[in-house]
Amino acid sequence: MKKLDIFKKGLFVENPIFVLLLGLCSALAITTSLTNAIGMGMAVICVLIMSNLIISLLRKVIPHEIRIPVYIIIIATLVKCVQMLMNAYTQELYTSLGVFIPLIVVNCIILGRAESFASQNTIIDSLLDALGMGIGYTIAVVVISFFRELIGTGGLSLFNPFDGSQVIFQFELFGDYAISLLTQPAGAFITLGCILAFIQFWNNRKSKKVGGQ
Amino acid sequence: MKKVIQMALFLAIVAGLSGAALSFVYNLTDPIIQEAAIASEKENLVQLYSNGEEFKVVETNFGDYPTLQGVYEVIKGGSVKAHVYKGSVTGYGGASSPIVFLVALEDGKYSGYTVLEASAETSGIGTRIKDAEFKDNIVGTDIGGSVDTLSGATVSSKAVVNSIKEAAKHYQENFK
Repeated sequence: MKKLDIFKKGLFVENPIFVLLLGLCSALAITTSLTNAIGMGMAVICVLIMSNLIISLLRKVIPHEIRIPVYIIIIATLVKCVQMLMNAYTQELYTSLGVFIPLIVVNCIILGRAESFASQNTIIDSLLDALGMGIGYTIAVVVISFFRELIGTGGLSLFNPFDGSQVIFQFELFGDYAISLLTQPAGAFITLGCILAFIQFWNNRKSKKVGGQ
Repeated sequence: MKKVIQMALFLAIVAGLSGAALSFVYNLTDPIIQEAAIASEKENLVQLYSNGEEFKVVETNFGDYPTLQGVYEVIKGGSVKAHVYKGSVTGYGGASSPIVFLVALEDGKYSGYTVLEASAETSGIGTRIKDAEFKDNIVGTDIGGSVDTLSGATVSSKAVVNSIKEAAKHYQENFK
């Protein structure tokens, strides 16, 4: 049961974007379309799993004083590898994510999980933590991009992130009434703010209910 | 002191391992990346060279050459035969819909010229940069020599001529 909790906490209770507010830079920048969000989510899951795994493996070997530089080297190497692999095998995703792939290096989620979890826990636990956090990140960016794309362009589209010619679905509902502000960077902040406010409202209501009974 | 050396060594080993991992992945992916980079341009390049030549992207810095977008080596029988430049210039259609063209440089002469995109130019006026009249102005003349613009289509043709001059300058500085 405890193992399941480690996995589950990243999804909602400690969701990296909505609750911990980590890694916002990339999350706000790439959420212009569902396809980008899913592609970025997968890249983050990959890097997070590998970095947590390696750091957990080496947690007894890495000297405490220089742990941060070591983490950064490991994470930067992994990100660069993922970047080159994406450039080679998923050209279109690579061009649309652009500069934000190298930015995974400084994504605080990964360094944060390495420092606060993987460096103190066993490999299995770290793996579960990485999976939970990675999926939590993906859910969060998918939710943000869902609203941004729907309201910003008046429609929704999803392509296979690994092969841009494969359309999964694409439709337009109210293209004439789209609020294109939401596809701009400022729209990302507005969307995130509204979602955070909603989550806060929900939590307050829940705790009030519990208190009232 | 001993601890410091130990830590420095550890960091050096980690960095070395990461370098090894990176070079491994680089060797694995680089050929695919190169091929993908040329694949999108290949259908354009065969307009100029279509006798089974191979093409290769040349990595270069176009900081001083704002209208140039890419340069490709044309390889025939294992040796570099010519260089093709891709230029993108603002014509009469404005900056949002530029004129895109290729110009080939071979043995001190311009050996080929083709327009890929000029849909925003005025039909019959600006689009004359696609015609044989203008092409003959360029192809066969010496690199670096002056190229006449088209009277009546000055904006479009002058933009192209200026970009060809940039290509010639880049060529003489890098491949001569």
